[in-house]
Amino acid sequence: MPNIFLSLLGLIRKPAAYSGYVDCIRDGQLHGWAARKGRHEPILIDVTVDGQCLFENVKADLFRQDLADAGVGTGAHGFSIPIEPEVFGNTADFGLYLSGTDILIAKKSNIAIENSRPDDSDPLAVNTGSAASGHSPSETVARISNEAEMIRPFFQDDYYREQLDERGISTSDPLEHYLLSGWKADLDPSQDFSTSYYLNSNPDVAGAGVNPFWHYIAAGRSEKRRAQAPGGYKTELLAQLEPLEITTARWRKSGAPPEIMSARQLLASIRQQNVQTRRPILVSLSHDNYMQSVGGVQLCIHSEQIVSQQEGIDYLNIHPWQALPVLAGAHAEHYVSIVLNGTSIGSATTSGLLSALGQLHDQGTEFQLVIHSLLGHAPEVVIDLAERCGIEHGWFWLHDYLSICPSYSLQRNGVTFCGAPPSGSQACGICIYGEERGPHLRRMHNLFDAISFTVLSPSQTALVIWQAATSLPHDQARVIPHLTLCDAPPAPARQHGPEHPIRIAYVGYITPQKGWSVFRELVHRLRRSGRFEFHYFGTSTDVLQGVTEHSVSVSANDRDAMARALADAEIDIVLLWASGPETFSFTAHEAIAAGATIITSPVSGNVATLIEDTGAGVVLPDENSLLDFFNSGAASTVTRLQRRSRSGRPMGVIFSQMTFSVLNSEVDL
Amino acid sequence: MSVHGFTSFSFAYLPKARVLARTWKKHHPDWPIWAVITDVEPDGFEFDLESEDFDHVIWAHDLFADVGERWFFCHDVVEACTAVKGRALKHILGHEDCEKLFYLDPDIAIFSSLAPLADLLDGASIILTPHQVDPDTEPAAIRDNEIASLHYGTFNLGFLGVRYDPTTAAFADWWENRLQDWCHDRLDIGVFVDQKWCNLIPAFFDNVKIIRDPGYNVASWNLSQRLIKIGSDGRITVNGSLLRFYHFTKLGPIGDTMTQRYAGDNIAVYEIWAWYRHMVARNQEDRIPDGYWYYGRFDDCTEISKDMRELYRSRPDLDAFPKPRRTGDGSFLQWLRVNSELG
Repeated sequence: MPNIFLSLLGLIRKPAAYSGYVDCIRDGQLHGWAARKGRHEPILIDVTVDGQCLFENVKADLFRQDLADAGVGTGAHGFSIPIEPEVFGNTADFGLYLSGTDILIAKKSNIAIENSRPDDSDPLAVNTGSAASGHSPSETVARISNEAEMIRPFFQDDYYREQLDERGISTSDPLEHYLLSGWKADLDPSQDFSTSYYLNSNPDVAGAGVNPFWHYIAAGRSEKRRAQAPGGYKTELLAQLEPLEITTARWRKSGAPPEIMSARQLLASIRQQNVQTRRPILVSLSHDNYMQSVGGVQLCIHSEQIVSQQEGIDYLNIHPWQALPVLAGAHAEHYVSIVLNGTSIGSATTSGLLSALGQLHDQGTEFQLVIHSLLGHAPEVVIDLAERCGIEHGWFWLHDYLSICPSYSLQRNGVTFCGAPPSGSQACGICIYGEERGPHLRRMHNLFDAISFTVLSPSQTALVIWQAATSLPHDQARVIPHLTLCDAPPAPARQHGPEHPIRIAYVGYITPQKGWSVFRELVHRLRRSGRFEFHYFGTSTDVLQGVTEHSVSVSANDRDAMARALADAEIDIVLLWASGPETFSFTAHEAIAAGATIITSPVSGNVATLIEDTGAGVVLPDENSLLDFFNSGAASTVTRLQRRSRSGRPMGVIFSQMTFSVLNSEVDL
Repeated sequence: MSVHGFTSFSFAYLPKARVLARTWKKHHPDWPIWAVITDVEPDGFEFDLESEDFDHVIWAHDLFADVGERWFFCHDVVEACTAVKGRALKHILGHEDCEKLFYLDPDIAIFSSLAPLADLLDGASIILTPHQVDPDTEPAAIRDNEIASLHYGTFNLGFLGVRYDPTTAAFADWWENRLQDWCHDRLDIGVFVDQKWCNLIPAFFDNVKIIRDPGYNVASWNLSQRLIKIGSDGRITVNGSLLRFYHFTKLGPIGDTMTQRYAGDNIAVYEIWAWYRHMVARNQEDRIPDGYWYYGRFDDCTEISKDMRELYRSRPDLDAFPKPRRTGDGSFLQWLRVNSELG
């Protein structure tokens, strides 16, 4: 039972979904407004005075121009209630609640009691300017003037205008707008101050009805109150974090594939290509259809398939019909989809698959096995498959760390590199992957016990992490980089001279784990300086205001597309701020090939290693250092040097033959 | 002889109590855990010990059968759930097998073994955890933490450890007696439920051990002086000490605010809270209505306000209503409606 801070019980935070305000008592009417954020329909409220509910089911639907100007719904969210001020006085505590609930929308004491002058034709119009004041109009003007002078040095006009633009509001004076109505609509006066956070975390300020930014500058900062939620994007992600079982349930499709091939049909499809030649079959397991999805691993598999066919080996890719963020259930029958030599041939049950491949084996077809990913697969099925097809040895790729944790990028709760601590540790105990990890590891051990694997790692860095964290038995381990850099012809001279703004790029899949949140923060903080341009390269659209988009899709037929696009756009810096260790990073190699400087963190795995090996970038210890790097002039120095030497920097790449890099040298199929 | 544990709660706190019991059993599967419940099962729900991690249940209405419904009416939910702790402590210590006994609030979760505390009870009779063990320096923190402790009590009674001996017997008699009559939220007279009384423990009793290890009873009221780290070895440490138990006081906006104010950028704290939110959600009991407390309403479902309780306990003549929850003719509620503005 909590035993202290009970005094705070009366200071219930204004719920984020609703906003409102108690303005004043004017001409015998209590004025205020209440609305549900992001909604246009009016809401019903209950009004309490000194804790007693005096007005129930009041519809807040009066139109007020100040609310419309502030972007509060349609503006039709005001209310006026006949009230006898002499009964309550201005010391009464007024509360607005969502009707029929205990959800507090706003509270106010020391309310202003006003009477219209004879020439006041519209009491609400007067109230618009003095809504929060508790003072007469003339006092309000003086107060707002004082607030404006104090706030002005810290107020960011451009930043504020962007918020108004998003709401379709125009004004000639953003500061005045914030003082009169913007703060009540949770607009932020600066990227370093959150109006809603400050009000929510400081109930005394919210209760006093004063401008929160003014309060912060006048008193809050010296009292060490926080201007924004601490922890940055990581706390935002944690607030939205969901348990793994819920994520898994959300991924699940209902039903089954539209057409399920029987073992006989599957056998016939494979035989169409295989029966006459009786070529060996390389079974490849992946987490999705590499012919349809875009990504580094998918490109690797596609390359491997092409080499396989050149080597006279049929390439049979099996991926789960139901993509999952975890292994498939150990005992339940599930569906797989099958791609033969790059052509999808359909879906089947795992038992149908085993039956068909078993029959081929019985008829003399020789099988080999390469595992690229086990997400969505059941290791038990793989063991059965190996047994049925006479496979004793396989190749196991470390594209990620799934074999040592269901969090395949070793991100505890999706926000922090965990270092793969012992399963059952305290750290695993608080991680969304922790419960799953124990049974997951047992199943992996069973797989590695049943099949003798050669572990193939795309980098030494990944192999070192993997070997330190696991005792999985394996035949041997080899490092096979997906590509290697090589000298290339000199690049054309750059168009951009040293005076041109520094071009900073984010490349590829948009996710916090790849550094998107940090890139977004840089954009917010730096783009108004005029010293930087921000670019995005990938397949997403409408990524972020202030970021120039370059639609780039890398394929097996055009594997240089990203490096070429980065070079063509004369990108100076590529931010690769992965929050966990990359096992390889195509983007890092593409950035180097384009002659760009990489900026990364120490936990980025092979990206940091690559910088150590090539000198093609900078490793910064944390996000504060990253911001300092750009603000201090270090980025300018690096870019100036890099632009001067650029003609000698761009490099070419040589792609590996994936599993065939070792298979050709070791195994004669 | 063995170590026992207990917690006290109403059914609204059952999801949290389940998290406590689950984590307690994880680290001490052989310690019997008692649930002290100040509530009555709502329609459609049965507290089934077989499906819970608790080993025993004590119902407050059995424990306080001698004083009856009147006593419950004198307490709000926090007062009642803390007031029963004294009598429950004596009851469990009376169990022939109980050598050492720990109380933990239901909104606590255990992260590693409490064996060091059990070992301490080989020498100490009573062990307590203060709200803070290091002074604050910032004015706001002094106000939020130290001044709050001066109001609400130096020691957090979310935790208490005792061993079966004469000192503890004397303490238990005294505490039970005070809590029966004076377990109220009356800061105006210097009383705060069961907790403030325990400021007197070091004065009244010998052999008291005060725990200053920062790994115990980590909470928003001491985060300003405690840095939590999660190492690649998987250990969660607090100022270098292993995290033992965390007190998740006020799950919701108020708790978030106080946590953010003092955890700052210490991401590990938010990870621990995220885990706790998930665990509580997983242990939610749909068959218990939101905000349910049997003693919180008259038998016609009219809410019993704090003012009604204070009036009832302050007027000896109202003993004329020995079953104050009952409604209808001649009931206390009817009397309230006629004789006060509270009904």
